[in-house]
Amino acid sequence: MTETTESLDAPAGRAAATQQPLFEAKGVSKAYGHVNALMDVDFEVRPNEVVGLLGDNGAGKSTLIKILSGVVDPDKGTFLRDGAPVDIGSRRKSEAAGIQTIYQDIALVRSMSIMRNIYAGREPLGLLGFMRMREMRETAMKILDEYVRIAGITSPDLLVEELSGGQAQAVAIARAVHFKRDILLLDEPTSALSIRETEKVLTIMRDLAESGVSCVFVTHNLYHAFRVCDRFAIMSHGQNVQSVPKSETTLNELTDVIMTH
Amino acid sequence: MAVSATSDAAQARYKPASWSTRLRQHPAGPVAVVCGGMLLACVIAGLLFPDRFFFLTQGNLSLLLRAIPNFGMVALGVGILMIAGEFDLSVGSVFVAAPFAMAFAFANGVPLPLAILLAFAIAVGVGLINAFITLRFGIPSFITTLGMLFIVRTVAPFVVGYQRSLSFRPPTEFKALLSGNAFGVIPAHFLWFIGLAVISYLLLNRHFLGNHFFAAGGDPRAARFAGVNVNRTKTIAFVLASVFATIAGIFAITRVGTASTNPQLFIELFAVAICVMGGLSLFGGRGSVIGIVLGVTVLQLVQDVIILARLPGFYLDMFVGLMIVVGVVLNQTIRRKY
Repeated sequence: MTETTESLDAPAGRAAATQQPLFEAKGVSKAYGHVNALMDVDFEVRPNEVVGLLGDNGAGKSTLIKILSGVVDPDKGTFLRDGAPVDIGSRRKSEAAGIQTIYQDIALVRSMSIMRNIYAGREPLGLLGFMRMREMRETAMKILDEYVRIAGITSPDLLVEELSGGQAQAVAIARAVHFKRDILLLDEPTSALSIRETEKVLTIMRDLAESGVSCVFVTHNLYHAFRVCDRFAIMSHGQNVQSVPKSETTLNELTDVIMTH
Repeated sequence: MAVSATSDAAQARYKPASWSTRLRQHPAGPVAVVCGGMLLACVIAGLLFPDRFFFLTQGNLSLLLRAIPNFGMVALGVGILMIAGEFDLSVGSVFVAAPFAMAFAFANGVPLPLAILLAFAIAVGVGLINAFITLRFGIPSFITTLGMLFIVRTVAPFVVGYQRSLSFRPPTEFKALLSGNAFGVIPAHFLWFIGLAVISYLLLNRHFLGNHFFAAGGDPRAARFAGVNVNRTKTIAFVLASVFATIAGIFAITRVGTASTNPQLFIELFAVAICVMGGLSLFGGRGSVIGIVLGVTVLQLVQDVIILARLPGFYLDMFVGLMIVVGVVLNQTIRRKY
């Protein structure tokens, strides 16, 4: 992984727009009681892109991410993977459709070790459902070393509650990046991170897009979004507002769109 | 994505936790100290006053080894469920009712293996009902299983025609296998308990279900987000608690030779007390099998000392009460430090 950041700018005018979307969500609605979190929202992820999912608080970004991850059931909506309908009704099904997620509120079990967290729900199994501990330990160490490399994490046996917020978030990111398939959803991944760690996450997103893993980047930080995203999908009050390629907009324009809706 | 580190480099940077870290992290640390200290004190007292404090006699030690598994087996199941974040108080009734049904069926001509299957079917049934009501309606399992404690207790004698007790006379091989002595001195009952504890350890620490128990108990939401089926995981834990209580009950009626529908006083509460003494968290997600084994050992040691020292029996209840309160307070303060 390179430490340089100047390569973060997305190549303008990439061909992605003409290709078939990797993943599509159509007409997604979700209400919590009387509150309409999402109303007839369309969203798509194209191959080899980082798409910024932007909008103010309450726009429905997190709800959409949770639906795509399979942990929240939508009231309505259809989902297509490579143009074919796909069921993402549970975390497992969503994962089978190629989706990994890094959640806004760190989704690690604090009372468990890093290693047990990394493999929760996807343990490598041997005979009779017993875990292959050796393989888990070795891979956990490799994951920590490749993607995290954060001071203070000395062992995969450390409990998550012994880590700082940033360290824990880094572990959550490392886990998702390691198990990524085709699409990585990042719901405000950098909110708990230091500057250096944030840079690393931005670089990872760019690298992933180049290597064929599309990223959905939810953030309030438009500077970050503008640096890494190829396209911006803007939401407001549970509805679509705009989807615009980076080449056709500016940072000021984006800010205006979000502010005025 | 560039791979920057070889596996060797990773090995050098990230070491497994040192034994001191593991001991400090281990939830059974305090109970290990208490248990070790008490054993040492008992042995010393037994050596100093061999004619007054009969701790080191074969009769006493054998009695101790027979007493430990009774509560111990129930506590293992209750403990696994506690780690998964739920309680089971109905084990007190299942401990009595399922083996009673087995004895009843056996006395009425049902072959023993089928009668045993019947007992486990009842256990699984009660576990599933506990899980369904708790998880489907989002009720605290403390309440659900408190209800089941009373229901199972009253339904059981009703079903078998208000019979209060009946003798259980299994084939001698069966009795020898469950309640005989191994190598002439060690009660088989105790070895079965150790076996069950080893299985529990492997399940919790080496099996994927164990990983899910810890995750579901530690943080159900994070577990679900990671892809753990929390409800299924907890359901399995509910069933295990019932099954372990039934195993304990079968051993009990085999040893005594009589099955009774009279409730065993407070066995469900003693099981919870043992788990708490053993360092299991009342809020789920933390605990160990060794803690449960040490917890039940401490409990029976205290009982043994009370008998040997000819102290009044209520001292035991007082001790258990103190240990629970002190144990929980200690667990809370230790946790706050990190």
